[in-house]
Amino acid sequence: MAKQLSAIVANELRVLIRERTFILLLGVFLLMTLFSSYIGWTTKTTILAIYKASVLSLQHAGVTQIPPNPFIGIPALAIFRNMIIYIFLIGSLMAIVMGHRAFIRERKSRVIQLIFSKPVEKKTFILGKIIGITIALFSIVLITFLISVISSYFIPHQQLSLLETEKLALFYFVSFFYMLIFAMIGLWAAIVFDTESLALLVPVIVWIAVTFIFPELTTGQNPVALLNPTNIAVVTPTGPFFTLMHTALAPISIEQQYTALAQSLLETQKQFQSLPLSTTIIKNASSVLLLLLYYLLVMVLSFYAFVRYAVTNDKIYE
Amino acid sequence: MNTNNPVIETKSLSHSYNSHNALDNLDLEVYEGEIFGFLGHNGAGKTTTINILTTLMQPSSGTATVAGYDTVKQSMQVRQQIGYLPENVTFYNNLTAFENLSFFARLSGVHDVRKHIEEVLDFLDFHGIENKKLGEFSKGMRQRIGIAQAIIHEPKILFLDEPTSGLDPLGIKNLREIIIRLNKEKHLTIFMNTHLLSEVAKTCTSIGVLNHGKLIYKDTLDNTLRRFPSEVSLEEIYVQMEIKSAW
Repeated sequence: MAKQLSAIVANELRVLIRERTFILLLGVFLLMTLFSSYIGWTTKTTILAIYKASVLSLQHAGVTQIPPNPFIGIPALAIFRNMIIYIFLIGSLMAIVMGHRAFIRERKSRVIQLIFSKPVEKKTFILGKIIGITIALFSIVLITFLISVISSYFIPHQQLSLLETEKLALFYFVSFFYMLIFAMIGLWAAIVFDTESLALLVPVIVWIAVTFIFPELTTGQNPVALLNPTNIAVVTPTGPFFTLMHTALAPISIEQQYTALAQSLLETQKQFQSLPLSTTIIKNASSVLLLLLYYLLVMVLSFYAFVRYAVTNDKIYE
Repeated sequence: MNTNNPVIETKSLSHSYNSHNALDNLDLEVYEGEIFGFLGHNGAGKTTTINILTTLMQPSSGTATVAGYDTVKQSMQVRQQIGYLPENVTFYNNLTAFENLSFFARLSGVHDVRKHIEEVLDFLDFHGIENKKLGEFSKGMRQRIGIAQAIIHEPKILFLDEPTSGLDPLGIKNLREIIIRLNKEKHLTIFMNTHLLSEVAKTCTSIGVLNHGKLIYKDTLDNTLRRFPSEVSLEEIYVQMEIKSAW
């Protein structure tokens, strides 16, 4: 079984890396990571240049009380806050495509019939797929983390401390789990739906609901505004509907729990700054558990959907 | 090298999709060393039979054994003994021929994968294609890769579902030669679903005719041609059988 499992995992990675759609999304995602640092760097250098010019101008004007440097007190991690948006918008979509392609290609090409004419257990196959997707996504997130760390060294006076590097690593690890949930939804849909388009459409609708509809229901705020990672904690509107929705749904909203966790790890708000890693995790334990729970739920769903999948009775062949 | 050992045996094998009976009490024996041609019109139940025999599907009732193993209770043992090439399979187009074959060999538990791939491609006289992607292959070349993956673990029985479907005349001729060589040189028993009666006449040693899920005829090809001396071709014999069955 171990040899078959490793063959399925290796094959999944090999095939995935040669798929155009995936490569395109991966390229955009990695480029945006690089841009995230670049945007942080240009913002900082521009503001610093303006600040220095303003200081000179004020000094020439004889002003003695010079306002402090705006970057004092802003954590180095703040330059990566845009990554939260990229995870929501590109990372999750890329994960859906990964999960979707992981099974739809075998169904469409009828390779699935060849595979199960070999002495392969269904459980081994689906486990191999899940491990393959997990390794691929973890590798992508690891590369993204390295890009962020390396690029931070090129930003003057913004080098990451050890604690900040640990927090950044944990942010990416949490983001990996967040994306993995969408990858599993993509895989589940690829198993249960009869057409390729429906198998892609359903996870995309779930993604839209999670990213835009659910947060709007619980906060009453514009969904695009909600994506803004610089938002101070979202204030619940005062209507009874939104109060009820916020109380009932916010604790189970995957997007809001991930945002809360990501914001505290990237220190986007003052109260999170310089908090030890353990304190940050403990304060957000419920969000961590919720992400883990969602992941386990969709993974188990995918697993059992595949165990029930009938290899020869697939309407996608027609 | 036909022997009297049935390597494929079905008893009262039935399968229904909703209310439609795809297979109706099929009793069939295929003997070791045979090239068995399974004939029948579209929807006769040929693919359902092959799906059950290759363990991809479970019958509604009845039993089937392949190489002495029950297809339901001992499906993994059955899969060790068989090779299968379904109709219209397209493989992993982005992978090379070697990568495709290597994957299926590893799934089959083959140890020295490279050696086996070289041997199989050599047997099929298929050289210089190992590093080419399957997306660049013609239908005929894909079928040869299909045969290669089916025999890479040295099975005893080979199942082919409409293997000549979509092939040009040269491709059909090449495949026919491969099937005969596999039977003679590798001593494989071959179970083949097909529409092409001319191919059955040139390739198979025995035939079975399925009509609406029922086996209406089974015998060796030689006996069949002797039994219908007035008919000039297998096509005519087949038409006669279908007409008799309809009555």
